[in-house]
Amino acid sequence: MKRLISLFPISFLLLQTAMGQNIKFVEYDMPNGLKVLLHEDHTTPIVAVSVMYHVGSKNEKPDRTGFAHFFEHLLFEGSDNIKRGEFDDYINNAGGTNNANTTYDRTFYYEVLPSNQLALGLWLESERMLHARVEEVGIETQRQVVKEERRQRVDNQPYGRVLEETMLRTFSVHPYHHSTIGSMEHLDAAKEEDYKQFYKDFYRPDNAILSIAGDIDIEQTKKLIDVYFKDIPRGPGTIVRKFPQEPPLTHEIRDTVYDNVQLPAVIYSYHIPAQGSKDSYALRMLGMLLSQGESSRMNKVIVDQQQKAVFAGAFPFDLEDPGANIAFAVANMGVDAGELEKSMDAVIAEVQQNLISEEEFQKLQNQVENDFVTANNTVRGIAESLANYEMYYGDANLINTELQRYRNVTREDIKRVANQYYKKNARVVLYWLPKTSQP
Amino acid sequence: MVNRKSAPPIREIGHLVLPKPQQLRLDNGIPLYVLDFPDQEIVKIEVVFRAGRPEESKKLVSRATARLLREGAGSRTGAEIAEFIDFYGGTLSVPGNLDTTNILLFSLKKYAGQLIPVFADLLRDPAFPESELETFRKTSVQDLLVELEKVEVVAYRKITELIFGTEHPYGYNSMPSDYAALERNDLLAFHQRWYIPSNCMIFASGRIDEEVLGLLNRHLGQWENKVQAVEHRVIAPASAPLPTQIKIAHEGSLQTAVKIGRRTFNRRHPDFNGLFVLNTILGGYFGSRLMTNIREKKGLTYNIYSTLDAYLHDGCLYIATEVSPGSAKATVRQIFSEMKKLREAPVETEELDMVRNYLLGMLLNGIDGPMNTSDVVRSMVVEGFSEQEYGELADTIRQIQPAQLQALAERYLRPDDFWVVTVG
Repeated sequence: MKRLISLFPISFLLLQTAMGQNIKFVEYDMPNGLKVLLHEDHTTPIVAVSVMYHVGSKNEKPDRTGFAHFFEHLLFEGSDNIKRGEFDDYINNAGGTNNANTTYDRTFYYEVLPSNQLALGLWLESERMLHARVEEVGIETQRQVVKEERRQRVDNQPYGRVLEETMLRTFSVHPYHHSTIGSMEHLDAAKEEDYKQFYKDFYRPDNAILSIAGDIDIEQTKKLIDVYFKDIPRGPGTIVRKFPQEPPLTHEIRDTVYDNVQLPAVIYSYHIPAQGSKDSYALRMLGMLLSQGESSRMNKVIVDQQQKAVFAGAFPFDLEDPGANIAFAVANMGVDAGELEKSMDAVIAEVQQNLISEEEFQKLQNQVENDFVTANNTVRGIAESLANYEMYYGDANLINTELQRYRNVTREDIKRVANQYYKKNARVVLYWLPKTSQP
Repeated sequence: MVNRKSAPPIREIGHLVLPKPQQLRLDNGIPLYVLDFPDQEIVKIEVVFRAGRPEESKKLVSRATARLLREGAGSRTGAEIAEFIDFYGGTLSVPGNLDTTNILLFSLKKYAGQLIPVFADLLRDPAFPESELETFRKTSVQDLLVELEKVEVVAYRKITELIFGTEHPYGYNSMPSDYAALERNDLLAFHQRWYIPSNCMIFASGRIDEEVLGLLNRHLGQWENKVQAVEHRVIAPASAPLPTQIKIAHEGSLQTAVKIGRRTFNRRHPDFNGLFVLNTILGGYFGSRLMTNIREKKGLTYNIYSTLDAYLHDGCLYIATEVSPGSAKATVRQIFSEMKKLREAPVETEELDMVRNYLLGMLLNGIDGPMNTSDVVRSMVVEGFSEQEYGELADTIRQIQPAQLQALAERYLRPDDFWVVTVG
């Protein structure tokens, strides 16, 4: 090999990184109940400041759905000390980015800032936690925005309502039965007081994790955190986390939805145990066997060999409470839903009847390992992963050790969970058909 | 006691430190750019050929060639290649790109010895089996049907057609008849002409040690350079008819997609960096004029943005949003009114300072983590920019004045130059 003459005449810092498999972090609790996670990495002079609140759409009242996600919008409106619309200005001015996301189980807010703006990020997040602006003018505007969001991302997308309609039929009493974006009627009907109460109930230090990753000094950061968060009072009482237990499915629920699509789709949904349970790892590996990569079984058989579908896959939908495993396939032109269903059943039956080969099992192990080391590639990703592991499992160190849980899964486990959870007589089957075929 | 009333002081963004790749050449001359992160356990290899739409002699040949590389090569069938790569937990991807063909391999470091030889096989010796081409034709048409249900897709296709012309490399859209017309010989010829060492560069990041470098040199460095000189076609400018308003109906749609756009230029144009800043003010970030007015004040949309797309030979600027059908007209009016404000009044210092900081912060964020960093290096090298030229963007961001931005608005944000497309 021959050296090139450098195109980059000025000599730059050669990047060193502290990522990889040993992500070090510091963890502690503050007297007001706020959990803190800190990860120091000086590769790039930026820092991710994030707060994860343990509130998602499952915490909503049945007649007030969409609140947790709505707050994801509302909590950018300002605070006692931040005028309406200025929250983002501070971040833009500092050269940062920010965003938030909401799931069934939790809400995550973050800023990624140049590392000399750490104090700003802490101030903003502490303002949001202490006294956010929850008032009519912001509520009204964001209602309109969320309605457009729902149209754009859900109602007006082909197959955009698949998850919502599937979960609705998979859960009858557990709040997973309504979607995170929720009902626009509920948002309309809610009063300012309802929103204020929701804020009081859930946005409090003893229901949150402050997770910071990037170019920080741990001791200095601890001091700054004290400055901004120490005086935020703990919330009143304890948050009740009792949700109605979903009874098992006892028969097949079959239904059809007609939509603006060209190609029919078939969706299955099965009950599965909560994430983190032993079987949840076997189910994830089963999902990979069926759907990850070109040579995964559903793709190889249904898409490539039989050419009955343009897409086919099965995925565990991991949730804090027992959740759902969804299989989804979109038919090729000229293939009807019934024919596609037969092919999907055959692929599932195969894994239920026969142990997977040692070689295929090794492949799954390799895929798990690759996914595991590829994750956590950015400081924001590390902050979020640490908070997720801490919130759901009470063990942020799973960011380093979760791989072992997959290694404990055997071939027999994969066959067993395929039989135990992918049951024909305990599932939802949904046909998603073109409106033009509606009788 | 903390003073909560005022924000902590905002500090200047310090000097931007760009990563410096190590530059090597394989034995056959292929340039290799290396970002070694010794603690990583993965390897990312990105091979880039300047073999995009401008090099095509038939529509969609560039995409089809890239997609079918994995469908059979050397002694392996497509299914065997997929099995092999999946077995080692690797991933192979071919992101869409108009100017180049990029092929990416992610591998665990410990399996690089298995995956790199197969990766090299499919770059050098693809089979393009007729049966796989037939599958590609069919599935592409099916995918197209799904995509055409989306109003924003229909609108994007229309606006780019209008801006560049339906026969232009940057303007044409895939049609079922184009897929039908693709033949195996087209792919073979395209591969033979453009997938050659003298038209290739490689970017390696993650854990790149001597072993990985040796593998690359053994499997891609001995590749014989058959055609030495590569001539790239210079793209004739698109014809420029007078822009108009186009309305397309879309049955059953709950929203109307709005796209408003015009032709611009590539990054080498002297106005590019300035227009980049102006576009940011108009609709390039969350605090932009369009976002503030149309989402945060009026609540008409979930998202509205304007984007300045630069290709190797040309470019375009367009504004995009989706709104309720009843609000489409008002939204278009508001978009033009925001352009007018930028033409008629200089941007206030406060707002401009915010945009400066936002953009400098973005450049910093671009080098968060090894994968992002290698993307920055790749785009610099592929577009032929030196570090110094790259730094000029940061200089413009720091130094451009309100009067210069206003002059750019007068030149580039005139309503007569914009096509308006509404769908749904």
